[in-house]
Amino acid sequence: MVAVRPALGLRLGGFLLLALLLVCPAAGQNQGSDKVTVSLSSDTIALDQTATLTISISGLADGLDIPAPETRDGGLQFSYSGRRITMNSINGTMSSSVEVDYTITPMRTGRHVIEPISGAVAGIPFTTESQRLEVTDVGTGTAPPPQAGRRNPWSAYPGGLNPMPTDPWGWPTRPEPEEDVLLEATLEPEVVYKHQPVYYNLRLLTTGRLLSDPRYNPIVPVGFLRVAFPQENSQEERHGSLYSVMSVKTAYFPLNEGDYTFDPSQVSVTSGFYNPRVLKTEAKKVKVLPLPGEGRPRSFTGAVGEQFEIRANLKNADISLGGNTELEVTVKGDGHLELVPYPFLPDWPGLEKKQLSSPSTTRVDNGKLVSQRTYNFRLKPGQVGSFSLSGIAFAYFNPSQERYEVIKAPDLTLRVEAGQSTATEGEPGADQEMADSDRPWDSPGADRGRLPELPLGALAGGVLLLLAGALAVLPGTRLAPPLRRPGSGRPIAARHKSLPDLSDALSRLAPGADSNSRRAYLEGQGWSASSIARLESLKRKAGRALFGTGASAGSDVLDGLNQELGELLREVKKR
Amino acid sequence: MRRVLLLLFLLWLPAWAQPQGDFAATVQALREGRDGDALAACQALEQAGQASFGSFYNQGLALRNLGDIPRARAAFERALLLEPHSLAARKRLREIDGELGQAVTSRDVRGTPWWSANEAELLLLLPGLLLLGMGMVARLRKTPPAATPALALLLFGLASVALVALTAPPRERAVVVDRSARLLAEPKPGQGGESVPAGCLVSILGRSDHYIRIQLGDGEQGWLREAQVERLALP
Repeated sequence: MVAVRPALGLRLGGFLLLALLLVCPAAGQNQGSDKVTVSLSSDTIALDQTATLTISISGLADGLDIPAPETRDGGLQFSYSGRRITMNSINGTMSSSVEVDYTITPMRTGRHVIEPISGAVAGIPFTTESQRLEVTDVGTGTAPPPQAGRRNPWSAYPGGLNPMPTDPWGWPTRPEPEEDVLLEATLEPEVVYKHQPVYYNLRLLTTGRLLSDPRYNPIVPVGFLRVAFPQENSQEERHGSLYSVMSVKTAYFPLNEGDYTFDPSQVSVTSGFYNPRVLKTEAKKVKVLPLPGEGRPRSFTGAVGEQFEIRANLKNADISLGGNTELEVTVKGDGHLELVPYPFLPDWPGLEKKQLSSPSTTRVDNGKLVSQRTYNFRLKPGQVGSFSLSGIAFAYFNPSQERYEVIKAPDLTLRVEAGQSTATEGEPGADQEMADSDRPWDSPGADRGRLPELPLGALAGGVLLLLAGALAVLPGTRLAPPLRRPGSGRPIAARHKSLPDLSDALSRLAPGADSNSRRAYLEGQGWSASSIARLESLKRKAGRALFGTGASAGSDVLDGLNQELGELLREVKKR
Repeated sequence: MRRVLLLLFLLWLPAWAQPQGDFAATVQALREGRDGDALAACQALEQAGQASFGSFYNQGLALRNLGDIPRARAAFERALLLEPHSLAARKRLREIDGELGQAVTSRDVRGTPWWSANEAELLLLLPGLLLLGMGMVARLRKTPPAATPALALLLFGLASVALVALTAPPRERAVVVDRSARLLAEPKPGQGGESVPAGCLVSILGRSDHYIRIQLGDGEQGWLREAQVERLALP
């Protein structure tokens, strides 16, 4: 027997088919969008460093719609730092991309999650992946890698981000201080504690009218949390001239101790007879001191301010074992509570606690900073009894008094009654019964735990039966027995089409050869004398009409007789 | 013969590579605390066209345990669309509402009613039957009572209003899942104005490109990006 080697073409064809079939599943998979990607310059930075979030869009697509990124816990501050367009040519093939950069300034240590960014490119929606950034204490983080391929256009100039003043069109100009327009900046106090606000006040004084609104880019010093005050307008007299004053005040909360320099501010103005100028202030310095360790209470978690208040409440003070409740601790004061991750809660024996969301608001109210934060905790008791929730405290450092102060919330009581029981502690290997809220649904359908269906069919049938019964029983609705000729099943109709029919009906109504026998029959049926007399009168009229004794037998006569018969029958039925 | 078998095997591969639904896997993963696996299994069921009340319910549990409360709410609401009578789903939604807080839920649009449209139509049959019975009584008496026309008109009016209110299908709704969603005045790129809290239940009024027009419970309307919400549509 000779072995026949398969032709090379067949073998190649087989391999091609194999390759095609292997590719098919991949091709059939749902292809995710790789047109928009997001990346971090570094995944770990120290508290005094910054990182860059870059959103890359492949292709020069129109209609970019990219909202600003945000964090879940608000622990990072984002500021737009620019957009770049990159074009590449590889082997004659052009490709391009757009990159949008945001500078990230951390506000506290910890692991922060940058929320997915939902936007659209050329009308096609996209959602990026979430990003995680670890922020460590000063001196422990890894240095961010150098920005490869990114050219700082100001790198040739010393002095910071804006070393060369320019006019609104970007042409360099030499600032010429004019007395008709002045720009001043103050930063005070010059020495603060960590988390204590330092106030930067930028004032633009003008004697004349400006041809356009001043253009001003707020400074973004690294390592500070910023809260802007509303712009204020006033007037001031100086050197015999009256100036209109525009003030922009910003509170900066330092995240860490150290010496910081605030870059000069620049404002572009156009005054007089089309005289564009760029005004610039001096750089300002501030020294941030560490919070004193001496006298620091155990309950201190970072708050700095002059005055705070605290209150606490339980959503449900009476629960069953196996359930849980929520504890809300609300703190309000003049410090920035975004910098305070939690108040102090002691460990209550037999009570598990878990911190939930803690929304905060910081605003300027009547020229003063007001910050409020509600810390939510889920409490789950492990035993029956009454729990005294005491010791809920909030410690803060008062910089004007240079001392720590502690405020406490009133004690609360949580009562736990026996209810759904969990496995007893200490039983090794005992299955933990899942709480109702954690138990998965074990079937695709909802065959259990449903509200009963309304028996609407039964209700509808019942209503019909009731109606039928009402018709049969209620007076006035009961039908009288049909008027029939004795021995005959035919009822007497109220209308007849001809005189012979009418006459026949009258005979069937009251059988009998003469009036006496008919009267006797009808009296036996319960007829009254007047009804009997009416019937006899009707019979005579019908007879005269039928046999034509001087009366017309037209349709109007028949109608009249039918009407009289109908009235007689109704009269008899009523009785 | 071997080549034929290989060919058949390779033809079967694409079918195997398609997402397979396994409901039991979702239950097991949740019991073992593997919320990520449970979520992936629920999403596989949906892609395989095997989504059910149970898969949406378990998806909601997994998302809740993973901390994605807005998407958890969307999953439980979709479960409720399939089974409006489910007490368990409504309980989970109440717990979710508690986690979201009054600030979010106070701006919700109307939730899923516990009756279906068919049940509402059947319920409205009762006054119809009552009207029919009254007509029959009046017919048999041949002298309709004076009160019947007024009462009939009142019942007819009530039935009409109830018919519209109870059986009118609610507008398509969605849950805001983006924590940085802001209402836009127009369907154009921009940073938006008022913040819309994540987890809020909104009605969808219309669509333009990748923007959708939404209405909040307090009547406020605006535009959001489609990727910022999760529609409560059944697969």
